[in-house]
Amino acid sequence: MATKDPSALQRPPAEILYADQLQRLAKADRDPRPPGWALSLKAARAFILGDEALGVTRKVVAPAAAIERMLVTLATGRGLMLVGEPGTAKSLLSELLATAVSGLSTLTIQGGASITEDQIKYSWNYALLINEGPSLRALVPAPLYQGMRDGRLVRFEEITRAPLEVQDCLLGMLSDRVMAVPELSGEQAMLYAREGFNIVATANTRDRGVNEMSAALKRRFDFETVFPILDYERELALVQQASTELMARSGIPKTVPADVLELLVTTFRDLRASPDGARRDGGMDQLNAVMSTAEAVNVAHAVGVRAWFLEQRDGSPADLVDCIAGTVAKDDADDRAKLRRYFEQKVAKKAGKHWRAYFEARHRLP
Amino acid sequence: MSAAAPCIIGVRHHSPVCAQLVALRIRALRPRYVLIEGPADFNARLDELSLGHTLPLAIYSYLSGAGVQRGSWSPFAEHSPEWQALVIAREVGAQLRFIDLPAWHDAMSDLPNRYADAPEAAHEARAEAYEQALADTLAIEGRDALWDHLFEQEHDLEARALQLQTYFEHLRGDDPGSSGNRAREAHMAQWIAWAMARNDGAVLVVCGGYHAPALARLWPAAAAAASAHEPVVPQPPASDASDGSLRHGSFLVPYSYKRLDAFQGYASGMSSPMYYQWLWQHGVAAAGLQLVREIAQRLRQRKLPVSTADLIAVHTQARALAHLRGHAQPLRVDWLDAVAASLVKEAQQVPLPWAYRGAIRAGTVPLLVEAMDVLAGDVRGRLAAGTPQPPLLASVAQALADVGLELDGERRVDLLQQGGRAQSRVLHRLLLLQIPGVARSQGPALALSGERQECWQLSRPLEQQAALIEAGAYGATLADAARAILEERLRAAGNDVTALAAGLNAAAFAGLGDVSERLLHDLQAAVAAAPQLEPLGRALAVLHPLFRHGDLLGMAGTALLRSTIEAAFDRALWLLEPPVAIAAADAFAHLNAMTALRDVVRAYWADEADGATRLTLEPQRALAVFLRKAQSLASAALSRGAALGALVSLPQAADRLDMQAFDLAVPLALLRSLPPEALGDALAGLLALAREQLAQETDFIAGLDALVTVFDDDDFLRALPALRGAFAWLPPRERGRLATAVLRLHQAGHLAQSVLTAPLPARLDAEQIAAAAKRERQVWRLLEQWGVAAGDAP
Repeated sequence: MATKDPSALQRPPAEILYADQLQRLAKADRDPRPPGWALSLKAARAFILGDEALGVTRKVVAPAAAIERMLVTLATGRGLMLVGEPGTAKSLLSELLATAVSGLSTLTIQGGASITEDQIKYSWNYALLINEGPSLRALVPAPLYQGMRDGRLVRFEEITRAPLEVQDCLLGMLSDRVMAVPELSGEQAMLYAREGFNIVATANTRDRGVNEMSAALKRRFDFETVFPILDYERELALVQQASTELMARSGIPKTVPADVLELLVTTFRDLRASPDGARRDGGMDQLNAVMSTAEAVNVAHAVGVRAWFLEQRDGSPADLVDCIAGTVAKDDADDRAKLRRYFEQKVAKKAGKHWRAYFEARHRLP
Repeated sequence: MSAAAPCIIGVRHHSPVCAQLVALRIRALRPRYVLIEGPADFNARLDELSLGHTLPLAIYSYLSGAGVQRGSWSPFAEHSPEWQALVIAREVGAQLRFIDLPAWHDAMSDLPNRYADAPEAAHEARAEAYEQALADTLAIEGRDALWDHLFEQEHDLEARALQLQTYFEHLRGDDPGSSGNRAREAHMAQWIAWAMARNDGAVLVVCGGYHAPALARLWPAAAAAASAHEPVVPQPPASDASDGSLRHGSFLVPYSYKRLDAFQGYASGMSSPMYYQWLWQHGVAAAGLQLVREIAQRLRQRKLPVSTADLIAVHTQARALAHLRGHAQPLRVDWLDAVAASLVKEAQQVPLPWAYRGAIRAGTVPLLVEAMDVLAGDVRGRLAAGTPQPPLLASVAQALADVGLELDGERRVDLLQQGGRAQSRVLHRLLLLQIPGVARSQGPALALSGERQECWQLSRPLEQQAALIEAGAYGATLADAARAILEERLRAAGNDVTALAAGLNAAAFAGLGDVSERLLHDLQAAVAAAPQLEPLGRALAVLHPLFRHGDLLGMAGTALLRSTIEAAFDRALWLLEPPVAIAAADAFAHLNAMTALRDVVRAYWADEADGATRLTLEPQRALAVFLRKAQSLASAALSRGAALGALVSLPQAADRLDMQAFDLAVPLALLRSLPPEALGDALAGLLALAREQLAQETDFIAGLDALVTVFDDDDFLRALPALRGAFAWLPPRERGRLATAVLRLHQAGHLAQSVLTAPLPARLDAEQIAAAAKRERQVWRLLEQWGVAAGDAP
């Protein structure tokens, strides 16, 4: 039996980590709840975006309007599809949504090339099946079965990585809200979804994308695009906070200097497919590599680790060049060229000592 | 009887709820004076506004003369509070006055739209902080959404009024405002003090919410100085006696919802004017329904799928969102969010249009672009008959008379004569305005060309007058209006560099070198995002000579060209670097682009040697890119040859790169490293850029010859087509000299050049000949092998 002590877990799920906040929200919740929901829409929004009065922390940097659209979609019974670049906190969002709506985030199907219908719907305990024949006792429920039976939100991570025919097995469940179990008879042959059941799927735009999904399945989902953090200050603050935590966990008594973080976040934002469209001057080409905030945190961490464990000093712009080259450009020749051009054309023109030092270190690029 | 204080209503321009409030207050108070934030110099002509026009319309004010170009719109829609104040004040028989400074005043110099939403940059930060704090507290995204949430719902208007006042007070805080705003407020305060001093009835003021708190503070101080006379409206600076060309004035022009819409990129007020018109006419609930109906209709017209199930989803979603956000009825953002959530079935590249301010960003899903267009509406205003006409008509007549042109029949214009050039400019400006009856039937395509004749077909069709009145909204004089249209056109070109270059060429024809700062910025951004090198090169090749030598056209050294060229140079280098395959059809354009880049560098150094550089660019970087390109094994041979050719042709290049001089060994080494089929491409690149340095060098010719002679028959056949293409870059005379050199190399100096340069016999091409020669040699070899040949083999 898993312990409920969060500190013993490597990464406790949201419902355990924030159990006290959920409790407070539920207690203070006066608004009507959609059928089968653990919280009202307003309380669910507060759980994700924070509510100072109740001591509920903000758990994700995302526009309020987007969170509202997601909750409303789930409440109106359409499936929710979160799409976006890798590392934009889609999975975190889906975990938080499931926790807010059902109080449970572990009914999760992980999409992948090898996934089969068994892992989505149900499979059998073959010993019992052979011994007793098909019965409810011999049936091993998978997340979708459990979600429908108990009226909970089911998460389907990376749905587009699952084979198309497996994706399509969701069709019936999403429109008719019923799962046929032909092996059983009588009442048990049909599992009708209870109120509260719904699906949150995530898909990233770098994999096969959502274009290959069947139109029938697409129609049953509302799409919500999750963007990288639009606000520079917020992203910088987040990278700073997250990298500080990581450094502490690695036992390094230093933080990454603010000017190095500025270089890092600016570089990432410049090289990212810009949601600002033409508004930003420069017209950089986007890298093939993933330039997410999560990746920026990793790079910041790497800078700190490198500087401390190799020479016991603060991270410098030169370390950053090394780390960006290693983590970001990886082995993509095209990205390396773009990175080099970025240094020559953009970094060279920026003012400030740290930018200068950053530029001087460009020979460290691969 | 009189109240102790005037009733000052701060409004957001183009806000229906403010319009309602203004109407309600005027009807209740029945004031003697209604003072409105509007150009005071228009007071004498206020009656023109009530002639029965179709809205929207605008008061366009201008000031133009040597070195000054100012134009300012004060647009009105039916749901504008200012318009309702005008209409209802008339209804209750109040005295009407506009009380703001005239548009030509220095205070308004940065304000193309009097009723813009964000009056000044300095204030913007403060307002944003306040609105952000409000939005964070209420968990609302975006200023428009916040405004709608706070005010544009159906509620008790009296309660709304109090909230509005609080909101505007917080928005302004104790900010004294910019000097421009202080001057405007001082003037408005004088008017209020004057009306109060008359002491013959209530005074009601309608002004921007930003000004309202300041005016309430300011007017009592002004009251002391108030006299029985109306405040003096400042007069425009006396026109200089020397030129006397300073013109100013205000007139009514038809306006359109498209221009009112903030999403169209003009600095204007509320977005989605059509929606707010519905809101004004039918209320929140009906406006929402109309919104969905019209969007669905438009999407279906455009063949975008919208099923009944989708519409049900939109309605459900909108109602649920409204409920969650505490709106009694779904508001604009609720409906739009619902449309986006239910209808968009793909990942989006940019945020939803209503989540930010300004023009819709590239990459927005087409469905949402259409939706925003529906909300902007396609309503155009129309002026009532008998409205005084905009001065553009007079200006055009004057301009034509000045250059001695009549719009009748065919006219030939000599561009190299002073008078002819002036005529051509006027006609090209009319062409920019798309005035019917002005067409050019013949003339040079490029402004900077050797041709000197232009032929024009001129006439006065019926629709000409109408077109001129419409164009009057763009400016008061022909030059202003043409410039405004040009700017619009350049902006619309986006990152289509070919269209941009065409626009700039048109500017050169029309002699319009000065454009606004903002446009320069937009142009730079557009060029910086151009996707392809070749069109950029073509544009550079047109614009750079214009920039350096276009003195006659008034284009030399203009900021417009400078910033475009700098951005194009930057972007072209960026695009040049990654290795890409070059399609045969693009080869010529590609080489021209490289030549243009090289020429920019060369000209830069020439200017530098003269101690005067006119462009801000880094030739060093160009050299580095050329060098890397020449060395890049993955790049196309054509590019590599051209890049090396560029270096060879720039004598300073080696020095600046701290390298050994690029002598003949370098190009030969490059050629030697290439497979036979790529040899010709690289040679074409070299010859296209460094013909003068290479083509006449005996050593180079000898090296090249040695390379080709060692080819076996198959290699030669493979290399032949591209090699022939390469030599096409040499003019006939040089080709002849090359032929002589080759003959001499092969100890055949006694033969004439024409042995090598004479055209091939008809119906035979070089490859066929080479193929035949190869086969013939094969035959001879076979014959020899079998001992049949008689020793006559060639």
